[in-house]
Amino acid sequence: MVEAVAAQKPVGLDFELIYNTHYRRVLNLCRYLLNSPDKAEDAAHEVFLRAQAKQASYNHAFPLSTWLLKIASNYCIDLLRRKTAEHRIFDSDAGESYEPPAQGASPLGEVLAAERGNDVRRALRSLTEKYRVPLVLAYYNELSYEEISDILGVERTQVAVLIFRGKEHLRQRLGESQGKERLR
Amino acid sequence: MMCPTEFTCAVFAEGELPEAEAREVARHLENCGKCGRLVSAFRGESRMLVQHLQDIDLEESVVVPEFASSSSQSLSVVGFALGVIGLALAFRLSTSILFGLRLPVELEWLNPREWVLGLGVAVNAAIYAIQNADAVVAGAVQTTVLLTLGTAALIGTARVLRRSMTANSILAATVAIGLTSSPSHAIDLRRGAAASIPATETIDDSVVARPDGKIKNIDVAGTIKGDLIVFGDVVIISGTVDGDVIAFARRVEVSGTVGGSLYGAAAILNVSGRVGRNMLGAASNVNLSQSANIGGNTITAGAESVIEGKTQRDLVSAGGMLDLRGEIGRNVHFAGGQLALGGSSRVGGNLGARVGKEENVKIAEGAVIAGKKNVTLNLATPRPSRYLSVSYYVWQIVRVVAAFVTGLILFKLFPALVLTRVHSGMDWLKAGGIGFIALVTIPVAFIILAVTIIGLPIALLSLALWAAGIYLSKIVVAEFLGRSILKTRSAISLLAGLILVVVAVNLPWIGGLINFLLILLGLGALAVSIYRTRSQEGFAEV
Repeated sequence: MVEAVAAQKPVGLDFELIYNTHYRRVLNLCRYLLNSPDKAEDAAHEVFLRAQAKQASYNHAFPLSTWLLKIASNYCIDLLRRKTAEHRIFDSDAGESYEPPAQGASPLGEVLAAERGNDVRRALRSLTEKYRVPLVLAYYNELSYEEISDILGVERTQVAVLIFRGKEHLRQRLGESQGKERLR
Repeated sequence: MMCPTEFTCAVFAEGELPEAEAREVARHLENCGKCGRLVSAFRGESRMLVQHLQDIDLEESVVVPEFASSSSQSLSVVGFALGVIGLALAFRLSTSILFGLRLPVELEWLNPREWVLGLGVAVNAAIYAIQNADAVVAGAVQTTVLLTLGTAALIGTARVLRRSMTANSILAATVAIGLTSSPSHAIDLRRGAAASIPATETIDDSVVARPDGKIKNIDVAGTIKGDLIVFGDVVIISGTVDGDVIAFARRVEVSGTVGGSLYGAAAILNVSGRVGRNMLGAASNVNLSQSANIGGNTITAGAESVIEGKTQRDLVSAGGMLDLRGEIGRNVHFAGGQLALGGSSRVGGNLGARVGKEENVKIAEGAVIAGKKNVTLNLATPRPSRYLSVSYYVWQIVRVVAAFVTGLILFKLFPALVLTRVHSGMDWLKAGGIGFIALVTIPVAFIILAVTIIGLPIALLSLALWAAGIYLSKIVVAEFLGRSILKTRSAISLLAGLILVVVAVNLPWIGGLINFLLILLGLGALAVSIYRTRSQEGFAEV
């Protein structure tokens, strides 16, 4: 019963309001994922069109933003896949072991100065989509490994490897750009 | 227990380790300070990443654009359709009112289908290139190098000018024109006073002559062994040019001898001399006086052509009026307003005319036509309606199916060609403008390329691409329309869009114009779409 009511209701969603409230977040996600401001704008627009078209599928039990960001992630990753004729962007490469060598650069400190936010974002953008996308999903969308593995269509363990590797690359880039600020 | 790996610690810190394993690591951490510090460092790092990545949402720099909801999107399809049909109707009506209801028929020669001229240029270019095969090879190599450099420069500037599509189109045209002046053999560049060649002078090379600020009239009285390319206000060629002459001027007078072909574009083109090969004139007035002798074909396009001299082969003329009083060795083809054959005219072959009214062909007493006379009337006579024949519908179905298959392949191979971002009327206007530039500049570049620098392979390639673009552009628009109306993207929406487009371009009276407008819009949108796909890197500060 509750389901039926919930399914009825979305038709009346005030889309104008939803759009104005969530546009920025959706756009930023698209920017992170696609690495292109122009394409991100197109994608964000398309995401809201899609959301509007399938309002009925929105489950009110979850926050609206989660639903929108999920549509956005799926759409952007679809775009990335289409761009690279190679559809298996996130699969493990031959010779890439699940257990990476232990002597990578150590974690970046939490106390990393706030003004380094720009550096972190720049470093993130310099990563290939293979690592950038999982990191964005994990830390911008705050999705679990399970959810990420669903979206990317890879094993959960592969998600863990991609994120671990991605952070290693991120530390490297940050280390290259500035003096090392390490916790230990 | 041995210390877990850094990887395990990292996954543990995220709370993503399977339960059993997580319990084990937690137990280990109670006793191992080193691993404990590592895990808390990972946790700190994650918090830091979340904070820094999400900080961006607090920035106010993003302007939220107007939301074109899907309902207004479908409205914009209606708007689009109304716009295109309205524009076509307005054009037809205004021409009808301006020229009287029957006159558009006389303008039929402007229709690309009737463009014998274009064909003539292409054929001539091909013949020219074949005859100069050695130079073609040298020229082609040089052109390829230049074209590569030009493209590199274009891509470079595209990066710099990122959004300025118009600037790039202009640049592309400039590069194309710049390329055309690349000499494939020795060329003598002359300007102003030096551009005029006195009767006593003989030049062994080809000459490019153009005016300067003071001297705008160019007089070629001497002898040129190569080709002559000349620009000016008044250009007079009274000497001898062994090669071809290409002349652009307000007024061009040729009283001397041209060994090759003469290509003249002018307001007034007067020829009284000898042309060894073909004469191709695009001018508002083309006059071949009695003493003129053309060894090959005479091809004219313009408001009025008066042909008194002798042409060994065919006369092909398109325009408002053709007044023929001279001798034509073979056939005469005319398309346009009025054709008059004077009493002294001689036609060695057939006479073919395509005019609005039967009485627009006047043949005086004494005119001789050796072959058949064939007058075809334009739309003026009610032809049996094409809408009544079955084959017409069969062909339209074939057309839809062919476009459908092409479209499926196209979007499979180049998914990026899908138009995503044309929602406003302004976008369409822009696309139309760019489409117009593409539609016009490419054939112009092609003609110059094919005629002057002998870069025939490249010219043909670009012409083929251009033709393909014209065909594909309608498919792209159809896909957009179908998708916008059905609000899904599938083979069905493509098919629906194609059917819509084919119906629209077959509407009576305005179908042709709708076709033309769709080509403009599609070509422009295609160009923008390709441009946007190319310029996606280089992501500045968010």
